[in-house]
Amino acid sequence: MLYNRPVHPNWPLRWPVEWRDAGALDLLKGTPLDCVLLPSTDGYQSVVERARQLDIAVCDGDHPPAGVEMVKGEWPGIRMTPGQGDAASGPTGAPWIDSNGWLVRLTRARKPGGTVWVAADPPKSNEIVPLSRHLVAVADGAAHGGRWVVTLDKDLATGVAARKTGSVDAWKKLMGAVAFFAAHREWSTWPVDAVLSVVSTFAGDNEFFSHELLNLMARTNISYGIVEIAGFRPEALAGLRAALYPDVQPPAAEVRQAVLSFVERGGLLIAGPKWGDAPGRPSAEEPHPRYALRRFGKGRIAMAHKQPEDPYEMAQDAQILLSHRYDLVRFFNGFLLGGYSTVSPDGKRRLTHIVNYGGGADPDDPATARIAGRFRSARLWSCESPQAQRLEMVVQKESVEVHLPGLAVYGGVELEA
Amino acid sequence: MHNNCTRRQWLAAAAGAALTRPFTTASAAVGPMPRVAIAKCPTYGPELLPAMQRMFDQLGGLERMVKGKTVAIKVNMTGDTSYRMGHLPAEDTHYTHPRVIGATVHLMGRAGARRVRVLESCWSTSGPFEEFMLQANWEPRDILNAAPRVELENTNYLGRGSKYVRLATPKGGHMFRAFDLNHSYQDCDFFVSLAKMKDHLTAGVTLSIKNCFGILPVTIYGDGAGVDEPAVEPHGGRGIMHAGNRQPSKSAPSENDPKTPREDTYRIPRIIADIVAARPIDLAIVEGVRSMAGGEGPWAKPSRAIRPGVIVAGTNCVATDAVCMAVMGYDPMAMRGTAPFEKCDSTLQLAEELGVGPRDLKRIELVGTPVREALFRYRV
Repeated sequence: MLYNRPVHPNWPLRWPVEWRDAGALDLLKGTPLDCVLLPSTDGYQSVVERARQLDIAVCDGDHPPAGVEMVKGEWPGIRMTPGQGDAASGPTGAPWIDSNGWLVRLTRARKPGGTVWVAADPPKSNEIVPLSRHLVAVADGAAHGGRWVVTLDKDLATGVAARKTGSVDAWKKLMGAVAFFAAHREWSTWPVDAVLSVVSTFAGDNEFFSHELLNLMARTNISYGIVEIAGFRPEALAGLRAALYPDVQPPAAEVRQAVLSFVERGGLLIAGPKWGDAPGRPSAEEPHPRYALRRFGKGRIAMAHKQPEDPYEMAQDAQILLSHRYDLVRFFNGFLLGGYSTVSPDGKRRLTHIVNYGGGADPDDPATARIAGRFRSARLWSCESPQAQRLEMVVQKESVEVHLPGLAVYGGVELEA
Repeated sequence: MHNNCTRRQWLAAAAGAALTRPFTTASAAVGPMPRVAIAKCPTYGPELLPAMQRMFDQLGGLERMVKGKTVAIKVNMTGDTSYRMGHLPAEDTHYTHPRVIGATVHLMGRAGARRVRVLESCWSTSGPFEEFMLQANWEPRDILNAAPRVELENTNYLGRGSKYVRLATPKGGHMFRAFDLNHSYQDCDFFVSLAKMKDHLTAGVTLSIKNCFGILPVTIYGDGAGVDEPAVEPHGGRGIMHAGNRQPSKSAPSENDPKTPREDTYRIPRIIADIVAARPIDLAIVEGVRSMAGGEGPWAKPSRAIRPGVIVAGTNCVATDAVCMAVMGYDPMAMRGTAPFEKCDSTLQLAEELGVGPRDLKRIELVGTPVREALFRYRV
């Protein structure tokens, strides 16, 4: 830390290498950006001095301020096929979407109460990043309770420094999005509204699979929670319908006991054979190609015939084993949308963060969100407006459908019970 | 036609007939005029069930057709469940409406069907059909509880069967002499195509005949099909049937002549005609209470949601589709180059050539609402 301001920094900016003039710091005035990450300590003394005058924290990328967990993420959005203009395909043939949501959430689960900053490598010097992608990056991080380290591409950085109209407009829009999420920072404290939790060490032999599982579960739109075995408490399973144990070691005795107790009370356990023996009796349900189903107490155990090796397949199987009946959020015409459902601390409001990873609204095929539950009203928050906009709801038996106006990047659907 | 005999009996008869009948339209003239019923039905509300009951009565009564039989009903839920035209539910545009499915199942049960299986090849998944319905925002219990012994099966792969069943195309077919299918299409005594009344980008129209394109499992006939053996899991659509860029899995019969045109507007109408010849439709029901014009799904542009308020049913699928075309404002005798077959061959003509049924309205007995009263022009 080169300069630590008295108040904990709010939102970080990766100092563009193109900004050699400390005067560029004036661009940060009136924005929530109050921490600058420098590439090194050499050659930036004037920046540090000017930052001190403006009460902007300065640190280098490897040493974030105290209380901040810095994680290395990716530029979120649709992954393009290298050298081609088209989108790469994911396991379903749908465009592959990169998101840092799972990483932010995992980090927050491991360090409750901390602040998570997610940083990705700066774009290559010849790469122009569209404004929409910058906005998606901000929204993706913030929707999941983190802060994207604002990172400008060369074109935008030089354009802003030179006060070019187009670049300044883009900068203002980007800062508008940052300001929107900074103004709603309390949302990051709202707990996830989950139907299933992944119970894992998330480390060692389990790291790759469990991390990828979280990433791909988000792509299936399962509302999942994260329960790290270190510090496991049985209460972590309260209110859930299912627990998924992907690890390649048997669980510790207390975890096993708590999960089986959860099953006895009506929950579903999905696990691989490394879990060990499953109690109960074989289920009369229709056989599953990859899982043996058992009844135990009021609940069910789905034990994979062999240890799952494909995290996407496991995520999809989990969704079917649990049943789409318990989907909390389902999109129509939302192929590029990602949803993350949270509930207010008093339990009266549901906030579903929706990120459009395509970074552009489709006026021809507007999306619809089907959200489980009974609600009195719905409104939509967006980065473009400080006020929420009332949303029409189509009330169904145990859910509502809200018709989303064209979401360019982000919409927060707030539902009141 | 074959509505008074079991499928097995019909297949035996058809196989014998195939040896003696010429490959011409004349074969369709044999037998009595097939009957087709038209009903106006403006909504999916209380008038739906009586309207359908009345139509079935006009066709001679469901009891006569299904009592004591296992009935298989192929519905139309084309594409991924998350596609919508604007915010409209899929059943209001391109899916067979679940209330029409429920009403059909209920009436089948009331008529004494021993078992009713509702079938669809769910897009790119081996998951249960119930889950597919839930994804579409439907309540599968409404259908499962509409009659005793109702089952749902996803037929896009092997499913609950131990092996694929092979159904032969009488007369050798236009393109395929036989198809390998999910067991449900053979393990039934009475087969219903319960379709949506729509235009189609490739085939001109999609009605009870085109609905049966969806009985082909993509594990054999899809882009993700296995080369030698069927794939275990269904992935993607039936692009190889459209493009002809590869043959089905080698375990299944390949095309009769791989040198025929590789254009989907040539291939698809012929393949569909072959399918309904191989798996005869005992009862064709085409619902157009609400639908869409301009294509078969929201991906078709431009297209629009419409409310024709009509249902058509008949015991012969070609005749039923011909009447549907008339209701839609098209000439059922239209050939390639004429609407709605501007770019493709007429599936109805091709099915007629295989002896499946007549498309000439003069050879069809119409009952219920006259065509002129049910007319809803799909082309404005």
